[in-house]
Order: sequence, then structure tokens, then C-alpha cells
Amino acid sequence: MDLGEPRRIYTVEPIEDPVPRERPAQPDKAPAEPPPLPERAPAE
Amino acid sequence: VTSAPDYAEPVVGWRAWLVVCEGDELRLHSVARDTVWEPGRRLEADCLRGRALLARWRGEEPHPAPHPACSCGIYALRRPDEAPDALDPHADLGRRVVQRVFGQVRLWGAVVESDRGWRARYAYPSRLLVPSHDLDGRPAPAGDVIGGLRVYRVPVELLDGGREHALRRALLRRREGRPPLVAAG
Repeated sequence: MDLGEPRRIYTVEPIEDPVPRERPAQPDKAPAEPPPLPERAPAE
Repeated sequence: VTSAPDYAEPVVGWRAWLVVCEGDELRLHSVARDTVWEPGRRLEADCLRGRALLARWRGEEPHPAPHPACSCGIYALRRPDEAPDALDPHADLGRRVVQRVFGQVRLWGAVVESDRGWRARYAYPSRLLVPSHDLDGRPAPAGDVIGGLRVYRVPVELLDGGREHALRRALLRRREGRPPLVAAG
């Protein structure tokens, strides 16, 4: 394919990676719930 | 001494690809050379000219691609409607070609800018357009191809057009950001 005459040459160094990467896997389960607080004994 | 880069954003151009079978998977493939574009990996250009025996005999040295005085590098065009020019509708480069697709590509590294487009050292697709019909006007397996190309993790869209003039119009509309035409009835 003919692109025509070269005009200029330059360098491009992208700040962000132009290649989409695989996202880190998300945990399947929701974080464990905190253990229930101990029931308080009725005040005497 | 390393010189500072000239730009921090990739150049975005237009090009065509073959879609070929690699085992059970679909892959993008260059239209003029036996090169597979692997998902999740940048494509790096190299120049074969300096490696050929005849070139060495002539005193041509291997050089990093792209070189302004050579034709090496990864190609992209300024105008989307010129992307079909890159295709030979019957060339398959010895591969099982499923479909011919178009789209945008990001280019970076060393870039040679020309009147109609660019040649670059590195590239990765940024958007893929899958025609609903092949260049002969026959319906293409666009749904399967769209699904198979999602492995590249870029937007993959249906392009409503097959024959050359309709394809060029549809590609131009995509550049202008207009919604695709929907046939009445």
C-alpha cells in the first residue's frame, strides 16, 4: 500500500499502556461479615 | 543519551485485517504479510529487507523499523474509507480466512508520517468494525466474528455494509461519530 512521501519521523511514548490488560480477578465472595457481637447480659 | 519522546499519546489510524482461525480461536492477521496480531500483546514491526541475502550483497544494512527510506513498519491510514484499498478480496496468505474487518489502531514508538498515513514500530487495535457482508455482497458470519474478537478487549461493532461503495460510506460515518444507518422496513 502506498502511503505517499514521508513527511517526518517522530517518537511516541504513551503515558498509559495502549494495550488493554486483563483486570485482576475479583473475589467471588463478599467479604466475610464481622462476627456477631456477644449478647450483653441484662443489667441487674 | 536518550532523547525525549515527541508525543505522549499514540497516533490513531485506520486499517484492515483478515480474521483467521488459530485452532478454535479467531485472530486478527495482517493483510499483506503472514503476521498474527496476538490479543493482549503489542505488535512490533521488524524489517526483513536488510536480512535478505541480496540486500546484504548490495550493502544494505538491517535497520530498526520503520525507516523513512524503507517501506517497513506497521501501516495505518488517515481516512477510514481508504482502508478497503489495503484488501485483496481473494488473498488469504495461505490461511483460513473467516472474514475481513476494519478498525482503528494505536501506533507508537518510532512513527514515520506520510501524506496518507503512518508506519510505526508498535501497534495494537483500539476499535474493530465487522462488516455484515463480505466484499462480494454475501452475508458474513458477523455475529460469530464479533464474539471471537472480544478477546482483544477493545470495542467490537457491527458495520452495516458489504459491497465496496457501501463499506466506504459506512466507514466514513463511523469516523464522524454518526450512528449507523438502519435500513427502513
